[in-house]
Amino acid sequence: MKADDIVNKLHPLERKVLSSLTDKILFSELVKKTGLKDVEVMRGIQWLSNKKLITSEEKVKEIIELDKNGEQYKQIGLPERRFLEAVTKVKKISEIKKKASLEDEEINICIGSLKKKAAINIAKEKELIITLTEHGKKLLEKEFLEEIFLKKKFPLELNSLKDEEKFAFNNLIKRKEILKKEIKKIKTISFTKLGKELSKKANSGKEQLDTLTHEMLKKGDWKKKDFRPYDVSINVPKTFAGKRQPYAEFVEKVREKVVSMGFVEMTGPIIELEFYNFDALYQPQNHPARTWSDTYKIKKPKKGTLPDKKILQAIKEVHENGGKTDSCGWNYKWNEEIAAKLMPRSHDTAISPRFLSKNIKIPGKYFSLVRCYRPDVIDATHGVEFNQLGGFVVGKDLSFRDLLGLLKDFTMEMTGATEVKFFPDYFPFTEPSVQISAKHPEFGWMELAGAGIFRPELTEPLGIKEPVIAWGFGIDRLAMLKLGIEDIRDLFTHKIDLLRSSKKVL
Amino acid sequence: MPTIELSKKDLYELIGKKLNQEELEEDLLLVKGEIDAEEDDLIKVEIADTNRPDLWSVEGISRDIKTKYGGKNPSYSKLKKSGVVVKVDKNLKNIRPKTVCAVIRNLNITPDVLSQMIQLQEKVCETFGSKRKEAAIGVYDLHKITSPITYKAYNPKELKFIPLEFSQEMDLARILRSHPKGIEFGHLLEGCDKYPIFIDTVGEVLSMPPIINSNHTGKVTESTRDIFIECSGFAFKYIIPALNVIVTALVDRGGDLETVEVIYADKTIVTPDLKPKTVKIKLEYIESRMGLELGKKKIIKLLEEANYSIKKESKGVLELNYPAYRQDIMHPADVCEDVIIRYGFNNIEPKTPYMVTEQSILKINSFSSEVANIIIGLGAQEILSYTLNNKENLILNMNLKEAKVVEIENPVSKNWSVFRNWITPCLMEFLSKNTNKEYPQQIFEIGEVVLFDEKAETKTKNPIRIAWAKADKKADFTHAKQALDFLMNNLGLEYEIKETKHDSFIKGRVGKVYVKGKAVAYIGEINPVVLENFGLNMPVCVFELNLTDILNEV
Repeated sequence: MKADDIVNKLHPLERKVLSSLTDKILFSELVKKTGLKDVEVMRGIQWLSNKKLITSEEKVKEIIELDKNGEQYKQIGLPERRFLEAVTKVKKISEIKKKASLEDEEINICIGSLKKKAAINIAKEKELIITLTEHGKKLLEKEFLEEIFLKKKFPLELNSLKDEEKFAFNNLIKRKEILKKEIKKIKTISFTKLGKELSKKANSGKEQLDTLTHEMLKKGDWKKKDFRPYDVSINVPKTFAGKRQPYAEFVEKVREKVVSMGFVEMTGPIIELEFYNFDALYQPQNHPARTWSDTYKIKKPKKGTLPDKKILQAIKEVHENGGKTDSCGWNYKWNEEIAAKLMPRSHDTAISPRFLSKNIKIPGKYFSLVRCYRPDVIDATHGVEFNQLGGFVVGKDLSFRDLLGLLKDFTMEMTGATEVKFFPDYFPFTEPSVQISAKHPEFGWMELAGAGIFRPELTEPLGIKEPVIAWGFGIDRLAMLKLGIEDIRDLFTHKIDLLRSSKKVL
Repeated sequence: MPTIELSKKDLYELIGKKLNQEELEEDLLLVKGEIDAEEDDLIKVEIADTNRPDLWSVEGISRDIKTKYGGKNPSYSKLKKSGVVVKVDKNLKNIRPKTVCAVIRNLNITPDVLSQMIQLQEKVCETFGSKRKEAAIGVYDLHKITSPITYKAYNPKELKFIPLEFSQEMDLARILRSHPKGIEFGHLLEGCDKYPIFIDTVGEVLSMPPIINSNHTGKVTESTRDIFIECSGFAFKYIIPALNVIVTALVDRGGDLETVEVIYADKTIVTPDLKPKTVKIKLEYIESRMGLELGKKKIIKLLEEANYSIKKESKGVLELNYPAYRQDIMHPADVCEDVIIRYGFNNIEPKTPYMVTEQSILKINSFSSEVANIIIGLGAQEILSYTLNNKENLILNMNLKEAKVVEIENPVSKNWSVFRNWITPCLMEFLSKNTNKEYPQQIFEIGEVVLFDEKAETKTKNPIRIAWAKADKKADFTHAKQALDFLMNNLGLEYEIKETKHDSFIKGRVGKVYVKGKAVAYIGEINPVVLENFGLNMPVCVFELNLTDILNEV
């Protein structure tokens, strides 16, 4: 850039700073000279340094200033001086105190300091009796080093002190509120060669328009002058506009995607009957998964309303002896009271029997994407609560082979995986059960989905004769991969910075 | 799911074939197993099936793999009588009333056999036996016992014996109090005035189930040859499979299994009973459930590999025998799965069924997305919180005295022990964590709350709400009203605001919002007391609107 061009593009703040600059000027002086605010000068300096017109240097200095007592002693003399003079008139400590108008704590300091200087003798009678030594008498005529120090012009820089001054300083700084030491950052600004050259021109040149204003437009002023060209590459402060929460947006997109694959969305209550969460899924009432440590219980309300007698009877029979199905059942006495208990839903599958027992359309594909709750100890892979995506596909003649097809298509569509493998698995309410592993070009092999054909003991009592394929998908795990999150708790982050700076996931 | 530790060398000897790593991983799928960790010859295998205790030992795993290579398993069912008798006393009735027992002779207990026996016993009692409650197993040196054995309940101070790994006699109460196993499992005998004891005819104690064996009789080592096994509990449906699983594993190791006569007050049974069980299944059912026409021959071959045997076949119906250690087969669907696993999941070509179905998103969810997109137009940042929170935030910090909230009885952490009944406290919590960040902070959250509802079948309901807040030097009622107004106008809803009382807000600066006469929202300036509680020194204005309620009006 040519010199003139640079001058033309200078911002008014830069002009002001540059033209007020003398070499090696202190920041504070520059502020005074320009008449601008601190931040404005700072900004000007920043911009000018970016353009390599000036350099700034920051030094840390220890600055000594007088404190409250220091100011006072400068006027009325140090306590030990007043003490010394008083001793020429009176001997008793109480009288000295009065004469020299000293505080109690000052007395002790005086005695200590004067003893050290060998200026006084102390005798103890009813109270302390003080007399001057020969040396003390001499001192009456002589200034202490501390007194000389206090007479100096403050602020002082610690580094610039001579040895005697340092001695005095070390004595005084220990005492109460005489001196204070502050560490200050001192900024010195200097020209670069180019900056020095341009500084003369900084205020020259044509008068330019800065911000285009409403007034200028009304009056037409802008027609007579040129606009100051901006440095368009300059950094500007960040702005924070409205944004979706990345995980919330992800969940929404997943929902839309599943629907686009021909699914109907279902939902159910957060506080669920054990009946739907367990019994209707053919989980026996003494199953370990139903114990205190594996599921949340709630204090109130304790019990809900069970569905109609017909379904209850069918579920009771299937648990006890297999009922009308070809199963032998769990062979125990089923208890309605347990089924009526309420609990926070522990898995999304709780929703399926609710819908299967209503008049659903067959064939049909159904899904839900809901929060679930389990008493896990919270860590990087276990949140307080989590989302589950799952559902079922019902249709005449659906087979395990269809299940594999549906599951493969679904997983590939959801994840962008290029290859899948199947593994036998166990879920209490499906038989057979399968786990799918998917190979993603970026993330490698991931275990994200499980599925199976609902056990006949589950579907038949609900009035469904057709095979029902049930599936579940690890949506939180996928979200973490897609959003680049390593700690599951960050899906629900409360850090506004993270949210403001999050990238859009496409 | 149980994780089984085993020696590969031992496994291959039992299978009768050395497998390479790839074959091993492939074959473990037959038992729903996956290698979890590996160190030299030792592997840890995770078995997914929590309902198949027979697979929780190297013997059980090899049983299901060796058939693939032509190996045969013993029939287990022809048993000699051991002559050992166990008398079960009536006084165990409400304590631990049932037992089944067995004798095994001529065992060669190698270190592998011993470690597998102990592991299987532990896994069975832990997972299948509900931590010893439903099934506890004891193994004893037969030569230290004199039949007949009595199973009977004794008073806590009536009897003394030396518990396993101890050197000193203790009475029953003291074992429960001070032996590590007594402390761990003592709760299983809580409330009993007498404790169950196996004791032999010369007064030698075998054990106090389900707690601990005697150090003298109940210690099995590599030099033991003949053993006595008992399994105790409340129901035969747990203790019979548990015993069967253990004894078959020992038969696989070359032991000779013999029966024991167990005499109850009302009947005498002979255990173990390893006669095969039967199940009927249609060939057509297997094929249709699989979605493949395999044909009878192939299906029968796969069934035999899965340790079924064909008892009878007529008109497409197979009558199958299967081993007594299998207790998981309730329905022909279970047999079907065994066939499919044998065939190999990855040998089935997936087929996508052609289905014409409806598709729809829940109205409230698509509505919520619309609302979110309107609100971000105002410059607000969306946030997400858990629906679980705590009373301190929801009530105390919001300057409220009480509120009806659904509370977890067994929370993991107090911080997450109550379902939120409104969302505003979550926004306040969010703001409190970002006080050193740039303002203005304009945020919102859409989500469920949990409220009591006597009329609902679950006595609760979960309406979806939106809460919006702005924290800024100048945030005031006007901002909140502008934001609400912007949203309502976009939704085409008319509303009115009436002053109300609410201690979370500044008095006189809080209103209830009505749509068609129904209260649907709160709006106002947050009370400085609340701001102080959350450590905020910026004014905050908010509104919280029930989206479920206004959905019907839009």
